[in-house]
Amino acid sequence: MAAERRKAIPSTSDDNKPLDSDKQFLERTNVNAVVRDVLGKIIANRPEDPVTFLADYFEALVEEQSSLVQRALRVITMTHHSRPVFEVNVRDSYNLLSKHKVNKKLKGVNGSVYTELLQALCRNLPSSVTIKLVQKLECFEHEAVPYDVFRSSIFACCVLREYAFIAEQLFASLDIQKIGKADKALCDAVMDQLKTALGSSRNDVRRIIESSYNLAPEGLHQALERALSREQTQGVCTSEHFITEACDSFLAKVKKLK
Amino acid sequence: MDKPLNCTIKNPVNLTLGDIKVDMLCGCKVVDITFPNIMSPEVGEIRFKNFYVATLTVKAKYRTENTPRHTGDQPKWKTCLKRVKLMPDPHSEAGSHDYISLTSRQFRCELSNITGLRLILHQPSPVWREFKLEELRLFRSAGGPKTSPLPTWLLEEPKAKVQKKTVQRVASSTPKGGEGGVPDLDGLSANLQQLWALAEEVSTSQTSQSLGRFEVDGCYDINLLAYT
Repeated sequence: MAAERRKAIPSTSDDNKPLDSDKQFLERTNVNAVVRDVLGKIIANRPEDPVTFLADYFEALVEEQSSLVQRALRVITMTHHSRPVFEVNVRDSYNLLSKHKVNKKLKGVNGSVYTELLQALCRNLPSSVTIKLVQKLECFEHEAVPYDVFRSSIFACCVLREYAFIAEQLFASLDIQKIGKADKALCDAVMDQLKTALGSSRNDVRRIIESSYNLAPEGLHQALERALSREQTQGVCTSEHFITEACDSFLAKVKKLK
Repeated sequence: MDKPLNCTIKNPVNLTLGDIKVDMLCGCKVVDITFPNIMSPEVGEIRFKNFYVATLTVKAKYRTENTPRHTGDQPKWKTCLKRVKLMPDPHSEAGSHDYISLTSRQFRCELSNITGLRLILHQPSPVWREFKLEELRLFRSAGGPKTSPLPTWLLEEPKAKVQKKTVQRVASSTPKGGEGGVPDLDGLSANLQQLWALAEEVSTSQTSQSLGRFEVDGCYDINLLAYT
């Protein structure tokens, strides 16, 4: 409304710089496009906390100097890895990283930016886990990283992040007294269950049925009872130890790049 | 495997409304089955392949107590199966080509000492022009197809195991109250299952593309490289 009205009145300013209408102003400053872009992104990514998402977006817009890896990281972490748009984001970040200058003439994703990105993604994980993961997914500095490898590794990292988070929650529920330490026998029993489940191959139907039974509350109860009745191992288990062990069984499933 | 009963299956009879010449089908057919060569027919199972039959009713004709020559006695009919749904929705394809086995557990009355069976096929939908039962066979005792080897091997065993375990659990769940140290099992189980699912997800979505390394395990080990 206001825009229409103002347009109707001819600009009668004395200086020769004419005043824009609101619309013109938005277009001239490119705010239109930016807002449209961020709205599109927010709809596609459906972040859990939209306000933080907006803040991050504009922050990234303002600070121009952030490195390629930082920008790629931001694109990847925009959404949860189970959402369809994740694939698009990974593609975008790959394209971003392809601007990386290898030498004067050559641009592309090589092992060094790739490893840097992986490490940035795994920043919050225990360092021993990160080291093992990077060992599995490592690309050497001179190697070009094809998209397929990139996607699969990034996906593995993102899932591992969530995996570690859930493992932490799991530990918190095992830590009954809330002292940061849980009973070792209990942890071992739970970990055994998890390892058996993860150890079953995809094609072995009977093993899968069995392990899914064992992970159900009833099966778990039985296993824990058995473990607690034995009661030989005394001691405690720390959160980090637990998470590392859980992640190890995850990493066993990740194939080494070749 | 037992053999199908030796019986005579007559051609289906279309029930029509009014004059037979007027081609007006009412969506109902009758198939009669008789047992001319068997002394005491007994049916434990009916197997067939459906072809667009929506519901099935089975009536059985029993041998009367008196001598069959007794003219005053009407034969005794009993409904053995009433309107068994073969297609969940008569107007759509679902279930239209299913293999179906009806066993004595589903029968309302025992099919022994009968002289004939009458199958009444219904298809209320005008969408299908033809409907019938294919490969119709009767068996003396039920449970024939369940002995087919693969599915039983696959499905029966874990089930039996699960049942055994549940029994054990019931037996051992009494001292559960005394065990104060165990946390929320439901949450624990949910978390563990999530972990498993995540790991599986990753292991399936991994690339098989290679980076083009020509490395035989450890051949680039620094200790093995020569300085030349």
